[in-house]
Amino acid sequence: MSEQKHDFRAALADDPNWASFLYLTDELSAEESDLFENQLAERQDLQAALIETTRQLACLSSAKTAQPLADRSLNVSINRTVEKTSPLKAIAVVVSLAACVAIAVLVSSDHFASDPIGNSQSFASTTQAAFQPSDSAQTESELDVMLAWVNISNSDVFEEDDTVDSNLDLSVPDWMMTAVLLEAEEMGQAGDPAFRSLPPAKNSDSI
Amino acid sequence: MRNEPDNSDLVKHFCVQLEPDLRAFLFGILRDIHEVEDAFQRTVLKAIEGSANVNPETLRGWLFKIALNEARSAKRSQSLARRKTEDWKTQFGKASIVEDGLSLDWILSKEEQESIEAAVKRLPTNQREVIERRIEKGQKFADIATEMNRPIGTILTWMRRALNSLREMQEIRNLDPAYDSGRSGNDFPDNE
Repeated sequence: MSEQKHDFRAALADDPNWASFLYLTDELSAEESDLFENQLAERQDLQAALIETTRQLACLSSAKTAQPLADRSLNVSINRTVEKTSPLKAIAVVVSLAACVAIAVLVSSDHFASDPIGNSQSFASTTQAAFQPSDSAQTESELDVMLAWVNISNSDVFEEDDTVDSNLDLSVPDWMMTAVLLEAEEMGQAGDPAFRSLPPAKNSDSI
Repeated sequence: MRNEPDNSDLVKHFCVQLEPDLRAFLFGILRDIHEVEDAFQRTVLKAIEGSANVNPETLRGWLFKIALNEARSAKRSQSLARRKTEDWKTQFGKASIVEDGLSLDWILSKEEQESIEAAVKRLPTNQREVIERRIEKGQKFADIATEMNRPIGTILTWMRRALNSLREMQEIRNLDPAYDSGRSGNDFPDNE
């Protein structure tokens, strides 16, 4: 407090703007305020200073310049933490992240150049093996994105239709069966058990 | 011959010309927009009534002396309760709120207010923080010194420099309206 009183007395003589600020922000005692107002009556420089500082204070009071102090203190603490961190360590982290991303890009480009279709699982496993996220959540999320992209791209690949038409008619026409039997007789294979189950040959007239 | 009509016209002319300054001056003392309005009207009336004896060369100082007397008289009759409950921060904060159609052009135009906001952002970090703590948060200098872990003399110095810097930037802007663009954040580096 004594420091401020000394400051006001000096300011009243040398720095009318600062004296006005102290007056306007209630930093002065009642006696000092009276002293200031008495001087106002005689000094045009003090009048001008009071006017200018009043305007300045009114604008600052309504200005939206503040960052919430909580955020700023957080930023300050973060900045201080960053300042304490070794720059070499920061560089090492950045370099390792960049290397991981580069490897992932190279692997993905090689795989799709040689085997654009299928083998998505092997691609994913290869990618995962090559791209080992060490300690960064960012690299893990990048891997997830790449895998998701692979799955989406593979869904467009044509899949072979393995279904069998169960309604396919497998019955053999009679004329074909007759021809087979006649041939078998000619070749002496009529006694072959394979032909015994066959229905007897029909008259060739029915063909 | 009586000079009163001429002086009366001169006084009226000066009252109109100095109205923004007179209102700002009165607000600095009274801190209430309604009391400023009353005090200004009384100032103008008394000035016109006493215009016969005024020296035109000292008319400006004479007007402000009348305004000061009116303000101190009004201040003595201000309600004690209001003076105790409303601090300067509340009073200045109210100045930006227009009430009952009273004009606040005497403070600053919107353009100049934006200019001050931009100027604050260009201050060095320490000065900007002191400005925001003292003016926007209303913290006392002693508390600011404790929280920023600095001597109170340093805090007062930063505050003083910040106000000077803002004033200089405003003066430069008045000379060169294009000043606001392209200035970096270290125009006034803080020398600790």
